[in-house]
Amino acid sequence: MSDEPENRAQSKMDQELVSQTLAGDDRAFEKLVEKYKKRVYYLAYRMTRDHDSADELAQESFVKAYQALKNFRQGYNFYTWIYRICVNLTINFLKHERHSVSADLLKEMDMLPEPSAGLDQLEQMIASEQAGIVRKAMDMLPPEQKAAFLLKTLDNMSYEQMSEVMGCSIGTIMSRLFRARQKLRKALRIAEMEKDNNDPGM
Amino acid sequence: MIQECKYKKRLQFYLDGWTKGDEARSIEEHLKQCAACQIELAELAELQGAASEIIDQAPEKEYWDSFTIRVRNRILSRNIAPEEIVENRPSSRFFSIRLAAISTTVLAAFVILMFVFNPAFTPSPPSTILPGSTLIRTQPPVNIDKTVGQEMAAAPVIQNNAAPSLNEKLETSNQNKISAPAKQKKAPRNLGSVPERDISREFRADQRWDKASPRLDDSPKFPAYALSPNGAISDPALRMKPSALSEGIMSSSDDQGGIAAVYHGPMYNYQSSPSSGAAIDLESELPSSWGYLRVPSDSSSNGESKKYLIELELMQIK
Repeated sequence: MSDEPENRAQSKMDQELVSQTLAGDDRAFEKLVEKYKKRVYYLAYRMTRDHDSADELAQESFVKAYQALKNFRQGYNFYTWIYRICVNLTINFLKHERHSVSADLLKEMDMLPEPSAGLDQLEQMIASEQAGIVRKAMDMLPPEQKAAFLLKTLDNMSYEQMSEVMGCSIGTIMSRLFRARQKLRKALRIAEMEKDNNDPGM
Repeated sequence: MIQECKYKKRLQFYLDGWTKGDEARSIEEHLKQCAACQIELAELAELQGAASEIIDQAPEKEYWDSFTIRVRNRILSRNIAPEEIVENRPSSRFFSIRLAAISTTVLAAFVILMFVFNPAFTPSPPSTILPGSTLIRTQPPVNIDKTVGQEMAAAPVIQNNAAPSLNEKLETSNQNKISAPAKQKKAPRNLGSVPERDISREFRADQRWDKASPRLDDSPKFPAYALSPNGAISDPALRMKPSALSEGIMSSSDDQGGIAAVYHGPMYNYQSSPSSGAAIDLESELPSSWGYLRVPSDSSSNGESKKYLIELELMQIK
């Protein structure tokens, strides 16, 4: 992705905007926010499935990026850099959230049959049945595995980019992806079996 | 009859476009004749398809229109300017990690005092490393407040304590902590609006710190000692390289209690003990394994916490 000429041009433009911001032009930073706000928000949203949390994490990612802008070196890709900030904030947020829920409760939630009612209802209705199952099962993945799966599946990142974004080796990325997929496929299989059991006449 | 095909595990890399050239061709050849792998690949693709069909609820247009302004206001309200906090170090990490409350105030103060005032201190023989051990390598204390130096100097009694009594104290304090119920849990939803977790405020404190203190690389190094949860000091040779951190993700819980911090990695695992005392703040501007040890003052001072620069390392589980 980063090797394509178009992306190289984008990256160069971003670096220019970073330089302008550092030179005192905050409008340049606003352009960067404008450019990446949706991607950053949706990354956080897909991780948390909660608008308020995603909003908070997305904004905080840009604030942190602004703070640390002098650490942004020539040759970095702003896109992977801001993603990295957001992924880390979100993973920490999710773990923090997990710890605030007791292990038993979490297990209980794990057992709950999907689909859930409430805010997600519309979402569930529109999405395909399988998509609903995967979405639900993703909530049970450890945040790192979830992030790896999302970056690969929805952002179509290369392993190299993912390793940059997640700050770990490609081997770790591979193993996270593998585990995430194993679990999600298992969820799909179980749902399939349950469906067969429930509709014996079909 | 059903034997796990050696290609099976490689199919995901093939699907992800990681496998190239001859290897990709050999997988393609294999796929033509292996039904099990065809099913495997189809299932992987099915999962991919299902995931891409997940609908994201799109926020209103007004939300997007105001997004940038809200980011700007947030920056302005915190009076932030781009700052390079640490030089001479690879800035390849942008972790914003807060590793909270890994030890008690007593433990933290002991560690610092012991290393700072008595660098020749010899640790007791290696003890069993329990899961959850952490290594703390200290740097000289950093004067955040002008009072720090005075307070350090005013505590000569502790410095003379030998290892056994140190262990005793640590054990006692840890027992107390473990039995203590977790205190007020914070609502996890609002990162920015919770004052204690306001990253920017700490950032500003760091800025002040940065000007007044030597750079990390110029600071004299002290040997690292492992502190297991029961306070035993283990062999410094067991310490891991900081780069081990890149293989895992660190996370934190709140400062108020419960499990404070967990590190997940392929080989290492770290879990801090519950505490209400000292906390470690790992800032994104510092190299990943460095942080500030925040030690709350006792009730006699104004409740301001002291910050010390430390290097945190993780212990491999035996």
